[in-house]
Amino acid sequence: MTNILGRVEQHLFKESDLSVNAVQKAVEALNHYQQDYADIFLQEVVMEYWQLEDGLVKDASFNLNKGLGIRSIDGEKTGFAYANQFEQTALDNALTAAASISRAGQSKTVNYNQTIRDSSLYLPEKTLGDVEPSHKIALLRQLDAKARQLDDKVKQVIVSLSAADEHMMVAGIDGTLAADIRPMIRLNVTVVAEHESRRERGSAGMGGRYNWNHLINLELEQLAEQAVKQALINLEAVEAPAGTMPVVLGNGWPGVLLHEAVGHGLEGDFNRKGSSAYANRLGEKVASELCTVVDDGTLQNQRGSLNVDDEGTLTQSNVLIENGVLKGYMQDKHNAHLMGQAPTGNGRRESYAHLPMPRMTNTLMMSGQSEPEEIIRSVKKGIYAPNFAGGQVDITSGNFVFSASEAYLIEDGKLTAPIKGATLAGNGPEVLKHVSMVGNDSQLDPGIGICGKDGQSVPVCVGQPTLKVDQLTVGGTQSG
Amino acid sequence: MSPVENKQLTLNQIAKQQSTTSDLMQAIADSVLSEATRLGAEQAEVWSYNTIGNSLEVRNGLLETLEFNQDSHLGINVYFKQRKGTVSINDLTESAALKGLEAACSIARYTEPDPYAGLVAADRMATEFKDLSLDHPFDLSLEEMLQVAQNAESSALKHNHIKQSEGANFYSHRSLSSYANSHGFRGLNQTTRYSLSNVLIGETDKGMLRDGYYTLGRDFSDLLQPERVGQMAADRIEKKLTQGSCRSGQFPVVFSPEVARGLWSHLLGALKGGALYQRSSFMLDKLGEQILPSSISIVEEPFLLKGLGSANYDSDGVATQQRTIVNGGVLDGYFLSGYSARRLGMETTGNAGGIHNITIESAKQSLDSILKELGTGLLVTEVMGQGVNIVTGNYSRGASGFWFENGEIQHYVQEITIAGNLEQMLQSIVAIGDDVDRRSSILTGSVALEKMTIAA
Repeated sequence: MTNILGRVEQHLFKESDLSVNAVQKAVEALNHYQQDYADIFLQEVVMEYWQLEDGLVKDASFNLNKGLGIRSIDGEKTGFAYANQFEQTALDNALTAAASISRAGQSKTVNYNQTIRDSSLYLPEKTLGDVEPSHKIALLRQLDAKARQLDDKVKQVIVSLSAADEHMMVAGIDGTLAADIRPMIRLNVTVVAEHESRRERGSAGMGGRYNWNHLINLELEQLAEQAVKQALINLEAVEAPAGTMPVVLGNGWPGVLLHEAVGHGLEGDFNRKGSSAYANRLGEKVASELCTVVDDGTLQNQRGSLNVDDEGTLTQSNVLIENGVLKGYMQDKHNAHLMGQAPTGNGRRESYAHLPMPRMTNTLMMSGQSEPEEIIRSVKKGIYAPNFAGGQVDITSGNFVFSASEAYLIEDGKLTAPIKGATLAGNGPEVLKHVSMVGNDSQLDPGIGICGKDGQSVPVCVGQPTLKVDQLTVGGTQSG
Repeated sequence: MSPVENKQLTLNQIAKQQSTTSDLMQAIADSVLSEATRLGAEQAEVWSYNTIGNSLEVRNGLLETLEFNQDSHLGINVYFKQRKGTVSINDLTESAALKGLEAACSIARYTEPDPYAGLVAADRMATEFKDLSLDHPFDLSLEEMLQVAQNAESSALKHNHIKQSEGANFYSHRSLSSYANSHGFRGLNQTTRYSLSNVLIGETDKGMLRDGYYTLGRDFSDLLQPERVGQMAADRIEKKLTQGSCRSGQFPVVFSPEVARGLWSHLLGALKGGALYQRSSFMLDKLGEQILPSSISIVEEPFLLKGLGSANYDSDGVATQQRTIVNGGVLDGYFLSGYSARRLGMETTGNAGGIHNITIESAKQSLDSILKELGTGLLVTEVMGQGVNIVTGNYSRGASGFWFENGEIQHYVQEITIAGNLEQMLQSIVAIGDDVDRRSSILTGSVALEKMTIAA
């Protein structure tokens, strides 16, 4: 990992008058101002996208985004400016603008201490390497053919492949100096199935911080199978029930529950401002003792993983809830400092043009003791939801929702009819207290999560075992 | 001492600075298009934009964040015998643009011929460029902008029922955007945008709750007074302090204008060409059918002065048009780009890149009289989650709002769900309010539905 900084320097500045040395000098210039913290973040993201529709790969695009962002923090005050050029003048102008919230003061030296992870969590190599476009196109065609061959009700297939290569470096007045090369790949299949007058969509995706060679060794045709299965099941779906009832959530992606019900509420910024329903509740019981939830940015090849966060802090595994008790928040440098806590490696930003905030990485609940079948058997009347379209939370009231895209009725301990997509609603600090059974099958989602906060999107992972919530509001149309 | 040392430009000064940027955009477009021809592309098109401005946030009277924004974008499409290559970069320099062009051309060597690809016919390009009054640079300093945000927040914090402010935010931006294609079309738009918002937190014995209010517009002088924004935000919290429960079952539901425009946007989304040719719309094959009660019409109005969605041409360069989408409840037209129109065997409607201003026309009545007529039900003021399926029209979302009985608002209710099917919901609209919210490109009042399923 030691040569990463050198590689990033060479890559970012190959046609520019900047260097790591010039960035370090600029940080020292920033340090003349009276402030608590200041840093410079430089980033380039190259994206490639291939899409098949109607059996043709007719859309392909290439996207390049690069720039530098400078922030200066004084107490609760932050100044921020950015530029889309790697040039000394752009750096100087952004520096003056960002520091305009602070007063000039004494010159202070900065002693740099490079942050290095001993062994990288992902290969610091180009995601698609030098793979011939014809191979990418062949893969998309293969999945299209597979989906169409599975059932003649399948009328539309869209398959897409995207890859992003990020080079980043960050330097701060506390001596922070870090760089990372981050690959990201994503493969998606969406189908529309039609039968008589009904139409339904099904989709499946997978991805993570790995490259093409890793991808093609995975079981990829199952994406087409899952997407088709979901569409066909929904073609048969009956109206969903309405009301409060037991809900069994499948393992993996239904971990969206944790992301919304607890994750956001434990981000440091909301707790510093006292605007989270979880503020000042460290040490309190906020979930049933069956629940242990961690946010772990160090999982190999996972979509939410980072060697260092966007502030140059090593990511780590943070216990959020242990046996039902609230243990800790997720922090960036700014909020950690104001709350007298340590940064937890959760300082993330969408790009150089956005300010870092405390964000989740891979958030998951640990396995419990129950067999998944036993959990379903225990429900007399309720629903089982193995797949979701996403969720949303109001962190102040704690109210959250997440929307099932595939769900079934449970009647007398057995899965019966598939039901139409329904929104499940609950209150964060309440809902985990109603978790009465936790399965032994915890797993992460296949690498499809995108988390939005204050207009900034970052890739994340969620995960959980099969679990039962004794009461959740199910938003169907069949009341009574 | 002044919290901000004012080194930054006012929007008026930015506008002067941007005049060189617009020359640069035109020059880049010309050179990319002529180079594309030289490289053998039959057709090519170039978009670019540049936005400059600032945004600041005040919390508890003090400056919390000050951001200087400066974003650029350049996009290129090239067409070689119906094969398309696309590139986008965030760099507005000629050398980067030409490198981007090369990448686009190399992508087009690998994509497959699409019989529907290519520019819209030259005779459909816009030729008339009306002044839509979208550009209003002002001379407010950062210091004064800070004052605007502080005034909003301090007027809200005067109220005892407010626990704390989550911040008052003010932003001002000026954008240049240009579109040019190998037909010789050249278009340039200059627009400004201002917004002031304030989010507050209140507390009851059941916990905390948040709400806020905002004002936005093309012209700073059209924004609501800061004190009014703070007052409105505080009023909204106050109304929520009386909390109560909600009945489950089927009841009349009224969507406030902010939520109602979401309802309309689901319908409009289902009428877009992309959703139609992908057969991913609950409005498939509905042209000429009654999709709304006969009292309601929907009109697209691209030429509203100062309109948030106003434009003379779409992102294909095609002239926009004032037209009726739904006439007396009957579906009269879709929203098509050049591409989706060809796919459907129809004509473009000037909607590449999106829908321009939408006005919902109908007999309007006051919200009070609507609630009186409905008697008992739910007034929805917020919805949550992604539970809208545009393919089937299946609708199931988290909601909060106010329970009303005998036409009178009783109390605030939250943590509930509302469900129905969009096709039926739209057919069952019984009234539209006169409380039109103008802070959006969809102009609608409250919308009352005969009934939805509520779960609490």
